[in-house]
Amino acid sequence: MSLRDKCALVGVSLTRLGKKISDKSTMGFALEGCKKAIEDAGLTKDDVDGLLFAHPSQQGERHGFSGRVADLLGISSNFNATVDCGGATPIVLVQMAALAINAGMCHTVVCCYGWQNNPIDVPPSLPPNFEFTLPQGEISAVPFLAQIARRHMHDFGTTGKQLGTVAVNCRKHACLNPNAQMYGKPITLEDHQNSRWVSEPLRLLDCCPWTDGGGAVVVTSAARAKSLKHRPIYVSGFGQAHGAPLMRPWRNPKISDWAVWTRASDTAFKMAGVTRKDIDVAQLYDAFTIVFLVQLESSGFCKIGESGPFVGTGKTALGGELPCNTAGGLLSEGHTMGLGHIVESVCQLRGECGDRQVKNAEFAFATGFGGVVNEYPPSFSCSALILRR
Amino acid sequence: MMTEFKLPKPLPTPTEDSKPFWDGCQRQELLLQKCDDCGTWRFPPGILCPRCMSTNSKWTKASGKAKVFSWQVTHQAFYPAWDTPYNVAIVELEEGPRMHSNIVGCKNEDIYIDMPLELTFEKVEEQEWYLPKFKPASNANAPRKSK
Ligand SMILES: [Zn+2]
Repeated sequence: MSLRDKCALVGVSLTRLGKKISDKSTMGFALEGCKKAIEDAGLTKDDVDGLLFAHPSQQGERHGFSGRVADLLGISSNFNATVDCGGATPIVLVQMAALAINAGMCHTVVCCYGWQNNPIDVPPSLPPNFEFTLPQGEISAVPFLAQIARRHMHDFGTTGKQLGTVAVNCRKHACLNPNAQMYGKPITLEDHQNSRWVSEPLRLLDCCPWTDGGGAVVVTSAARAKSLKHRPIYVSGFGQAHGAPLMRPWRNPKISDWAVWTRASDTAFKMAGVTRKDIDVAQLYDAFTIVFLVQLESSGFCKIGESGPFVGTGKTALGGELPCNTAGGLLSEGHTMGLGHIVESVCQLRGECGDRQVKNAEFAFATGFGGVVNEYPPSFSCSALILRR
Repeated sequence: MMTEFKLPKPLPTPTEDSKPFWDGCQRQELLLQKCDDCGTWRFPPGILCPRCMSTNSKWTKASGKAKVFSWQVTHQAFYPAWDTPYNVAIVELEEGPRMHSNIVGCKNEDIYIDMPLELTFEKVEEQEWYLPKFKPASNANAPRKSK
């Protein structure tokens, strides 16, 4: 049984996004996101019977977090889980919701995220047991993505300016999005090229900011969606792929053979019954500029190795043939673990995006990408989602 | 650039599965598990072969020959234990596995992809602990002349 168009996204929300918003905890942001998304759907909390939480898992184990979100929200859920696939998670949540709804376990699921970077209840600490990276000085995601960028440059001739184009496009789009963290702060390619190295070859403007904030999306059955406040945005196709190919040379001799991730989008397109050419607007995971390029390739919008020239010719900017990350992406809207990519996809298909609206957008594509970079082997998850109005 | 304050360099915290690897390093030997059934060398240490799932393997000394798969130069240390800038490379061992390490004995500017490397061990300063590092092999390209 195909799940094409069997479920719909009926409510979406993002909280205020920014650096050092100190009036809410991770829980507070998640709850605010849930409330706003349920209200956006025109539902009440009693209409919700499932809850999933995307857990970044960086501030110590918080057992049963999603259960507490549901209880503090005052809902009694028949489907509830805390999920961690890094930046792939928000899209994975929508997929899990669609599966559970179609299995008859529940009918309406709120998928939420929240994050407070500087929680007053958790002292800063080193994560446990990064035995194969921390003693070598490899800390956080930036250095590993810098190594991927270096190899991409070597294998395909990708340039720092092409990376910069990704950052500049995202910033241009964010300047059309009043809720973006970087709204009103335009940058040029020259600014990118002059920004300091973080992990060479990645510069400061190749990296997304730290963001405090949260949000949620509400998934329900297509039948139920028809009678709600907004036009239903259907979940047409989805897929996942997981693995650590970079450290398994017998599977992938080159770092840039993204065959593993391609499975996620192939599965999604097959389910949706459409092709890449049908996509009107795309939101590709972009915690770093190089991640955006890799996603462009592994999602099949260009050939492996050709993402640099693809962005260089303006195809991914608003007005281009594949407008991408129209709200600013993680790079400039803010790091919402990729939840913002789902929210923006829905808003584009509803036609609510004002100055950054892609005309008559009918099909939207979004990806998530994440995983462990400091634990060994560095393993990644990729999730893909196709929505239609 | 010197960081203003420094913390001691973090040491590995071996698990039950990785202890033989780290014990080997303290004797300045790079030991990897080699699968008895399919012959695949593996890293990180694990109780089974990710290629054939066999649980039969022997800790075997690697040749120490390797090449640079990729590398980055850290300018912003997220943990203040090192002087920046410093490099961290992914090295590909002759036996196949890739691992994170540091290239020593050459300038960051002289590192290149596929640079041939040789294993060496370095003691973590002021601590009784050896980490595997790599230095340019004798057939590596000559360092660029400084401007
Ligand atoms: Zn084997």
